[in-house]
Amino acid sequence: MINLSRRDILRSAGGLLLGFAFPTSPEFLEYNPEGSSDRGADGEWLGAYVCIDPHGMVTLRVPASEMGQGVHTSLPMILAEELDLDIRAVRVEMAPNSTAYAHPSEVGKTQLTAGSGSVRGWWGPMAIAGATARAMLIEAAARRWAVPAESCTTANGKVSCGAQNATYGDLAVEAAGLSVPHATPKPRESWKLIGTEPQRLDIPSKTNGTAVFGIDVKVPDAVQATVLHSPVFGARLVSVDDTEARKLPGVIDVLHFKGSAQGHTTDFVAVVADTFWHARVAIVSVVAKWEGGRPDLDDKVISQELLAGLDQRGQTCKKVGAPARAIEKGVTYEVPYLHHATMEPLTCTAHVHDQGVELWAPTQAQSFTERAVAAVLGVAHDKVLLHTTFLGGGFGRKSEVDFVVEAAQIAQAVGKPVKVTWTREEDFAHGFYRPAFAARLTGAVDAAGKITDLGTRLSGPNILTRFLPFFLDGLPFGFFVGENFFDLPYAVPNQRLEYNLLDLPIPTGFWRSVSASHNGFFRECFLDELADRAGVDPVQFRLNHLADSPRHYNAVKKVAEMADWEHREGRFLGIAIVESFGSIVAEVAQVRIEDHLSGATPGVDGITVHVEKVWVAFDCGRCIHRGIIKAQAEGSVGMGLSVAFGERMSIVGGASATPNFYAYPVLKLGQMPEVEVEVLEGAPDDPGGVGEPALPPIAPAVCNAIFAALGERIRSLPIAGQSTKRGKLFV
Amino acid sequence: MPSFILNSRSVSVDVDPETPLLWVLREQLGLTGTKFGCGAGQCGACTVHLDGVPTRSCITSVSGVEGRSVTTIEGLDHPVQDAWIAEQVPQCGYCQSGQIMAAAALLDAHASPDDAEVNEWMTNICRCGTYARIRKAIRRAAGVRMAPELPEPALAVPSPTTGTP
Repeated sequence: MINLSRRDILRSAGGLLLGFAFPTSPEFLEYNPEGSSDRGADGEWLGAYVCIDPHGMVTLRVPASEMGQGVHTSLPMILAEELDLDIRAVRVEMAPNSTAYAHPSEVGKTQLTAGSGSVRGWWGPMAIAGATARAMLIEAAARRWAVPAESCTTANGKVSCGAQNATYGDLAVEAAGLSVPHATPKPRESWKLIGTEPQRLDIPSKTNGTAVFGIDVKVPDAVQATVLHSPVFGARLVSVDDTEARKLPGVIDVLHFKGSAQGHTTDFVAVVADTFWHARVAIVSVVAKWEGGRPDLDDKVISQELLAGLDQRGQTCKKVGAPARAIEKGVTYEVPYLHHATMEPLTCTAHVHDQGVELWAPTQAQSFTERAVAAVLGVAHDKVLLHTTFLGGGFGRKSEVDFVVEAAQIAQAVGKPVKVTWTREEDFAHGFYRPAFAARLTGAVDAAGKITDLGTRLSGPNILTRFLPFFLDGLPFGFFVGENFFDLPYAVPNQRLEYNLLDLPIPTGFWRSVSASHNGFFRECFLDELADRAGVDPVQFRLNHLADSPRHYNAVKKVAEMADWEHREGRFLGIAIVESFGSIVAEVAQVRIEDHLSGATPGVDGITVHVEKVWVAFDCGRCIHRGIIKAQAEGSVGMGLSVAFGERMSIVGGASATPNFYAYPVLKLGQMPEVEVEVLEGAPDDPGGVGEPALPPIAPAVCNAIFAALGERIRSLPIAGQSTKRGKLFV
Repeated sequence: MPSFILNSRSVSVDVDPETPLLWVLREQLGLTGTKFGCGAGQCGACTVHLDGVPTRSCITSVSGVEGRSVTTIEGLDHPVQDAWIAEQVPQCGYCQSGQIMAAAALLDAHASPDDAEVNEWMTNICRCGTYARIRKAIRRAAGVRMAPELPEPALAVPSPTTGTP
């Protein structure tokens, strides 16, 4: 890594990147408020994020991927605030892959959109960058007019001093030539834009078909491809018979690749054709033989292995006080593998030529991808240029590198630009699933209704074993896989947390809210069981244990008020609160139970659970755009409810048995409750994440509400199909 | 060579008549606003209007639209799109072309749909969970139009499936 001066670091990103010796690509992620597409910004760069052209058009560059969480509006707002710009008058551009855009956290120089961390991570640096660019523009004006810089003001893209003014466009060249000053961002009290709710800049293009997603990229002379992997997880490719496939119309080639030595990809077959449709038809005729994996694995075996992990002592992750030993005798909770099911299937366009590798991908992980492609293709990493498009959903699946590395390998073999599009069946069959997981929980409450002991034993795969194999040797990891128990907000004097790792060949990965997606469910349902045992109201029970966690306390109080918990006669409510990614979210769900009448058999054959309304109290510390936060809360509730209601990946013969949406029921509009969100600005100097935290509480809130309605506990997901005394559950 | 009316102009495509309309639109005709989500008619991301009726183009062969009128999101100019912006509906945006095509057809068939009608008609999948805002945008567009009740369409509309285990 070259040791760049501060000036170079601030200025070089634009210059170096625009100086790549590549043919300029026609598709570069960008949009402006008018919705048209064109090239990367051309003008004077004041730091890594701000470019001003001679006409005064300001381009703000965003280092994070836009996948629906609104960062292509919220992050530009920080820059626009500091530069006193009208957010509707700027052009926004996605950053290419560069360490200049590495996420400002401790985790290495990595450009990555994940962990609900974009605004949290980039707020500070972007505010400074914006303030610095403004200071340079003012300095340029001050020198030109021979006035003190302190007498200059900025508004609407102009610097003024008394009667004199000049546009940013007019000043940009002089400003860019100045030495880089130290500048401090505006104080909160001066904010004019942050805290308002401007319309998202990318929404118009997403209502008229012009937004370019990865799957929409068009590169001249590109051919199309689709891919096939082993149906059985972990199996190797033994032989390929492509005789029939090659006879089909449009087929250019049939290729196969061994999984990469670094583990970025598994063995796969690719059909290259003139159109995706021709490739898709042809791949069905490829006869591929695979060997290995675990064909003995099915849902029953997986469940047995998960539960076996609950019957043995696990590695102790946390011990407080003198907890009781008998976790074996607790209650059992279990949840299945989940698929991300992004609406845009996996896709990537790649072009490998003698100057390097050019990629267009809907990716969350620019740095990991760049490094993986460089390693697998054997090229220098600065020869990899990655254009990030809009993502049609990410949720963690598109932070994997497999689909991009495969496209690069195919492009290298074909020698032309190739767009790879996965079928939905391949997408379902080759996910990095949210692990199936189980928990056994024990607890004791005293005569005063306080929890005296909480014992938790967790069993399941650890998604980090793929990256850090030493987890298999049992190094401490309670903070990760034991999230929500490791950092218990409730005052409990005796606690034990154990974990038994289950190692299976089914690929697992980061799925929206990660460990909190299962641990939040286990914990908040069990907490309700303890409240019931103590004979205390579930809201009051939580408040009684949160005296030392004031933000949790306030969120519970707030959401209970919103739902009018105290006057809930005739309504069935359930509450849950989960902290994740630096935010605390409390939710109350209201359910209604109705007899279910099926046409198949006369009379009532079960009961339908309707979730009528959900209240959300969202403490994310500092806020930029409450409208975006509310949208994320609504969406997280929708996705978490979908999981609670009906989602599970089924495994048969060691392979996915869930080929498409007809076997994986994602929530429909008719099942979506009304959602009311209040954003609590809890601790303003401690910003929390927004994209994930509202997902974990919904499943336990709904199951707790079902208990209020039926008097029966739901201890596994999905809800649909389970038996109760009143019959089978429908959703 | 299959030919049909696309967004009010005549087109003719040199393609196998069994090719799904979705891929003819995206590949031969270069219109990428209509999206691929599942290829099995399950998700609705590929929804276009066929003679005004919302139709899943991934399971409609191009021969099936011979001589008929197809409208895609690129050819739509409908008040529901303004409502979509006013309510800030899209998150990732990928399913939204299909959602808008379905919603526009709903409002053209029923000027003031009630909640039950909206639930039955709008079966497109949204993974980001924008459903609450989709409902609001449809209500908003219905309120804005205030047109007299339109006659029922001549062609049958697809019957939706409800969520059951």
